Amino acid sequence: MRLRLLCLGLFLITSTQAFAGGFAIFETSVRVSGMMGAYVADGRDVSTIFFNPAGLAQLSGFQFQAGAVFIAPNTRFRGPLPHSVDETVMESKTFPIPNIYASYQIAEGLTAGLGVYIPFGLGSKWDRNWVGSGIATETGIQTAVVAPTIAYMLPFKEYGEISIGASLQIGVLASAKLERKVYDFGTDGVSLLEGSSEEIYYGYNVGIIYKPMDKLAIGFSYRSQLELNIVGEATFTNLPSSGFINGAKGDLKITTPANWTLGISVRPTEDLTLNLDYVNWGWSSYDTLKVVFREEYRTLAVNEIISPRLYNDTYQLRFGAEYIVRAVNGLTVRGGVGFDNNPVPDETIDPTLPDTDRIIGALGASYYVTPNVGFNLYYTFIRGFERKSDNSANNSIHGYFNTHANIFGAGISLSF
Amino acid sequence: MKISKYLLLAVLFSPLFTSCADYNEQSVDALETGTADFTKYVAVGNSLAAGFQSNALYPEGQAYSYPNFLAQTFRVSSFAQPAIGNGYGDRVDIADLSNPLAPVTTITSLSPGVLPTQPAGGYQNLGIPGAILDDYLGGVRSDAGGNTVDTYLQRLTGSNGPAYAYVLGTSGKTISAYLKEQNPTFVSFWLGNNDILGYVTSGGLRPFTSPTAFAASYASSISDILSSNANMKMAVANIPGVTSIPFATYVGPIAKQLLTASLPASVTSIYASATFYNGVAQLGMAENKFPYAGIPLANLDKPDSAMVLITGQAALGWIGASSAVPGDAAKVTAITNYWKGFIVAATAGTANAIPASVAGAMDNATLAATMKQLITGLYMQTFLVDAPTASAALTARGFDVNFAQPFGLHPHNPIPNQFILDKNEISIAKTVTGLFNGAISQVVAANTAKIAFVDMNSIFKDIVTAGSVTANGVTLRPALGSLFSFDGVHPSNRGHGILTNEIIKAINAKFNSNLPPLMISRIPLGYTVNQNPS
Repeated sequence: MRLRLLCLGLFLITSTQAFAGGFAIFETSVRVSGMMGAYVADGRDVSTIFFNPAGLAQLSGFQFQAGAVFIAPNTRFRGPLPHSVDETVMESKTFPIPNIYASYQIAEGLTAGLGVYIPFGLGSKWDRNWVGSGIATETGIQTAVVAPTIAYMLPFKEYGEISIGASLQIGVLASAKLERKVYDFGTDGVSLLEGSSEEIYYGYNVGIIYKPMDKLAIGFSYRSQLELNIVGEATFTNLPSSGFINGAKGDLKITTPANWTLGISVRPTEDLTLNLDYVNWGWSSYDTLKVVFREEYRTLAVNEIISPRLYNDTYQLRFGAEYIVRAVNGLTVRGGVGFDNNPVPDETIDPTLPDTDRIIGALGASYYVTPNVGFNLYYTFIRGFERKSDNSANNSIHGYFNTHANIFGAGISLSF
Repeated sequence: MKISKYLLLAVLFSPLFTSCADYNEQSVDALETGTADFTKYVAVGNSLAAGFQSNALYPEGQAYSYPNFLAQTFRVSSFAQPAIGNGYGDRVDIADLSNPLAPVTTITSLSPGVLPTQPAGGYQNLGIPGAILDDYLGGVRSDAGGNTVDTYLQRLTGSNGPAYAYVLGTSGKTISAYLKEQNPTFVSFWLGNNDILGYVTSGGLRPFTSPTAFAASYASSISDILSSNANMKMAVANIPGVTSIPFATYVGPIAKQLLTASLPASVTSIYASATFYNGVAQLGMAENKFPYAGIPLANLDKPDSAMVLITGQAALGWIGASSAVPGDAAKVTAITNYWKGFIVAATAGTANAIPASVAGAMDNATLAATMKQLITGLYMQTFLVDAPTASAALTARGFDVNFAQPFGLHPHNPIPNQFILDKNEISIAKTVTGLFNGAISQVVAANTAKIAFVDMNSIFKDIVTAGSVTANGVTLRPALGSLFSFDGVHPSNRGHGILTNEIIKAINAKFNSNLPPLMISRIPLGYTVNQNPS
């Protein structure tokens, strides 16, 4: 009997509608996102705190940047196969993702900085009565990290400039929301698990940039896993109270993947920068999703719910360019394209995260009204390849998922 | 100016991303129907087809009926099931979710309220709870009181509840006539279960259909359907072993454990009243001339020897009660009340009818005497002997009725027949089911090109033997709350899913179609929980 009720999978938690493979976010800087996030070898903007802390060593004085990106995804499902290709469109919602970065050069070659950014997150909402409502109606994950950073440029430069940097990621926010309908006891049952982390979590980010000559740089960075320990509380509506205890608390542990990035930055002319990054994401660490209940959960008989995820490692290719438009004083334009492959295998694809490989195009610009005050804008379009789910494990719904997203960003840069 | 170049570039770029088609046109794979035509599907059946679950018909159960699943699989655009309002019947709900496979149950009485009118196209699910085979062609049979009645008309007038009246209206139409109005191209036909099921669920009290009559009726019913359309194709299912359902198997092991623990070691048997067998001589059964049967406690969990029916759970609590023990008064009253109701029902419609008011006023001695009289009468009727012969025969077998004896532990104060299937009754039920299935096989064999045969008997037997069936990661056992709903007779939502997949398999094999199976794990459990929702 424990298995039967286990199969209810009340707290299937996964991610949904993310903006990079899985639920990673790399739209963490209005400037750098305009270059498709290809920045590991470049690092001349203060938001390098996120992309490669080593880049900070190149920065002088006081640098400040703040901005927000607005992600407007559009996902539709057609199915369920094999009988239907009726369409359901996910409820449209725009997610603001803010970021703030600041740095100060302490001494020649030594710069300290602080970043606040959102490294992971997602959100999706489907109609309460949509055909897949028994799997997911609303899913959300939020994180926020404060990252004190230090970078140092080695003083000997016989073979070029070598910068190293490290960032401590202090996780100050982690929350999750998982809502679905439960049809086992009627048509109105709703299960909701919602909660946040009660503790601070930590990770790190280290990097190096090697500039053998002025027009060429090679960069590498590594970002550690983050362990989010979320304490969720259950709210059940229209479900039998003998099996569904309102207020039951459960611990949900999500380990975000580590990643490493290797990239090259070339400046063929003074005004033009071309960057190419290869990013490897260790999503294979996301094997199962586990909720452990803190109190006896009568119906479930067991206090753990485990749902397999079986993610694969993934990669991204990011190409970005930046061009200083001399004709217009203070204008810089950017652009980029990327390919993002997704970690969700056929066995576990479902509407909680109908992830797909995607191509991404980005355009951006900065305009400095004075040499110290600049405004940044960017726009990204993400097109996901159509994903057909017809091979997934026993509990999913089969059909076609299509996703695209528009992302806008705006921000300000200050330097002294 | 150079900026205009970039603006232009941006403008040129953006349609590339935004205006190309967001997705490819997709359509569902065409259904390969093979040699069958599923465009107009009608289901003929009983409570199983109706989606009756947990002893009631209600919308949440109807939605998961196997005919409804089949209609979805056939992609039939309109498959109407009779709407039943809020539901009808005394639904068996579970009291809580702490142990759904060994549930504490409660009854919720459902009342349909105002029934919606029949849709213009009529109904395509002609599953009628309680229907026996003869009801398809509207045959005439005798009721429990021995009166010849058109039971089918009785159903239509709603005396058995609105479910029956509502399917076909009050016009007196037969199912056959209604079916022909629908002019179907494909029919699923699964009738006959109730022709033996009533015998089992009544502990052998209610009659079963004569196997000879069954065979004739089955052949004419199938030929009636096949002749309605030259291209007609059918799915026909036979009758699964009615003694393997939880209704018959669930309580026995519990009773054995309970009684072994609570009774003194010297008690090795319990006693139940029994039916005299005469009409079943044709089945090769030994005639039973004893009004009671002794059942060894050790055999209570052996499905070949004895079965305590799900209805008998309350009676287990009365075991050992005696009118000589003042503390047992409440239990003895429950026992005598049961028998008072029984003699009222048994004599109804006869010349010696005993009205409830008379029975209710009987003291224990009068009740015992009346019961003895009743049993003597049944003996006379069964073996065609006169009163003195019957009385002598019963006396010779030590027969009497005495409420001072411990209930269930002495032949003179037996557990009512209705609550227990004894060895003879089990054997009869199996023999009759076998004869029915033999008749079905013959009819199928005679029309093999047009009928996909679903051997539900073997399928269910295999599940019982294996102890479970697994599909899409879901394991279902032939038990309450698993393959079966909480009445222990009717399948659960997922049980209907398993049935549907077996029917689909048989159809695909026979007609070279490629109907896809259901994903069982996606079917909700459908537990009925009697509890204020949280």
